[in-house]
Amino acid sequence: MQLNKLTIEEAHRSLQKKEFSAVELTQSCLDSIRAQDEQLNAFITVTEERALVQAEKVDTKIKNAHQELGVLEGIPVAIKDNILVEGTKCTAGSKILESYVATYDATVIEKLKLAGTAILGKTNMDEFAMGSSGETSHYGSAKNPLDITKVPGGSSSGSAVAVASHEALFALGTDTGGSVRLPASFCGLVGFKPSYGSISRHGIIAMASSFDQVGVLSKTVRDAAYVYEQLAGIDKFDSTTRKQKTEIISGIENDIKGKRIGLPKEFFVEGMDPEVEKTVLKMAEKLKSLGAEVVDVSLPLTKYALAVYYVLVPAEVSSNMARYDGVRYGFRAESGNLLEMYLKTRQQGLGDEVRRRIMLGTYVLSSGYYDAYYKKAQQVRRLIQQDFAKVFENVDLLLTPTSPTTAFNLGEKFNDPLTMYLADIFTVSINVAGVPALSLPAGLANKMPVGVQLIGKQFDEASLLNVANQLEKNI
Amino acid sequence: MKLDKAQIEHLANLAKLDITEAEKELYAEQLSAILEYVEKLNELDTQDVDPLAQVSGAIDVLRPDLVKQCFSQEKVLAEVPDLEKRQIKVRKVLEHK
Repeated sequence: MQLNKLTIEEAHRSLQKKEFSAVELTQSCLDSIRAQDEQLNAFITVTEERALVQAEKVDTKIKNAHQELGVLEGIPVAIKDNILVEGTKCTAGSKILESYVATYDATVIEKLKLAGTAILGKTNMDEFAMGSSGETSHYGSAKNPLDITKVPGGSSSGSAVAVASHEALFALGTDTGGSVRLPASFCGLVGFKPSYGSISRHGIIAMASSFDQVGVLSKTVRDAAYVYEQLAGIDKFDSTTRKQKTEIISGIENDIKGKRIGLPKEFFVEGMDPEVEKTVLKMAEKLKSLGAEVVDVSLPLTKYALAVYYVLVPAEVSSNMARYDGVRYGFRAESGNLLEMYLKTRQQGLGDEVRRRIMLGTYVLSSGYYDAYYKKAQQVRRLIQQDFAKVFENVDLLLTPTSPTTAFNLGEKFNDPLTMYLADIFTVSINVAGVPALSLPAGLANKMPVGVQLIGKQFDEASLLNVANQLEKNI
Repeated sequence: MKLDKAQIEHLANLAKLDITEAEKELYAEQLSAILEYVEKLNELDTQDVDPLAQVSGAIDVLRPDLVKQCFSQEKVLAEVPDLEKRQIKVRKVLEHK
């Protein structure tokens, strides 16, 4: 048995039955990293010793105690490198944080530690999560394990690659406009982005604070649900977290007869890969055969979501990136005076895409343009949120493609930012509205995985994961 | 909206980025293309719409203002690129003419 290929649930059952030890499980992931990661480049930092120490603790508990073993205890996990793990380097994929060591644990890390997971290390990502392919990382692109000439999708590129290549049993990512769902779709995984406000952002290196959300990359929907139950909930360090129902597993096997699933016509556009479209429609048929009702719906403002996103996100980026000035932490360039230090540190320490977004954000927030761009986009953001609220009066969930295409070639879109941004066309509106969504592997097209996206009502993660789980079992 | 080189220089100055001549041209072209794309928002009438700043629905989340344990100074100062006697050192701010 190759232990690293197990799901969380399978590994948990075997640990309980003492079929193998937590150390053996962690070791199998570390072996997998050693064997493949030079080529795949999923990890920026591997914390082997710490992972093994944690696994040993779990083994001691299994041997000695009569307490019940938690489902995540001893499970090896990979963490995106924009999530702080105390005492571990945290680069966010950027040169400017090359030497930065986190001084505290993010709330999600505190919770994962409490749950007993073995943290294997920190994964590669687009610089400060700005990118859709993994290619903007200062540490080189991660490669799609199914075809290493293709991108794994971004920005949680390394987290997706680590799970898809069985270097970890699951991973955490972050999703600001599709950064968990897109790489999940390209690598054939489950990628779950919960509602904005359901998981704390404390200790996540901010990109666009009103869009960012922690998400889970896993092999099954049930695995994602177990992790979500551990992570969700109110946090005094993140004032946008809300009290909500976080019990998922108890209802995840419920019958989905009578559930109403909407197919928004705006998500089936020209230029879309016909194989991808076919796969989505096949999933709609599956849902029907499970007793769900599939109806055509409309989200008329969908075509404006990407424009809203690329005004508001750069604006928040330009503000969040202002803290990287070379004074208190991170990279500092040699210089003659203070102004030159700022200019050179930021020029040399930040990559091309990050600087482009800072420039764009600075522009839309600058005096004279604020109303025309920033305020306008915030107004349309409200209309888009209302669009979703209205459609959810009639349906329980929406079904769409995750991306118009399967994984594209490394380098293919790298030099044209607008074309790259279009890869996110089906995922960004979910973050604009703040609702939960999940990408589910639904088959292959052009020999690469196709993801379908299920979108839920705000804070109704339970229905979303219930339907996703039932669909997954019948693919 | 087409951005020219002077506007790009102004933005780089505001954002404290020391961009190269080649980047000025490249950014002028790329930012103009992105701005042209987002112009489509003007197709919508938003006159009576309130701007939406965040989506979780939480408003005025308050906490008691109490002194609490914070991070250790040692750990935080260990990250400083140039430290002398627990002070952060930077280059001079003012030049003599």
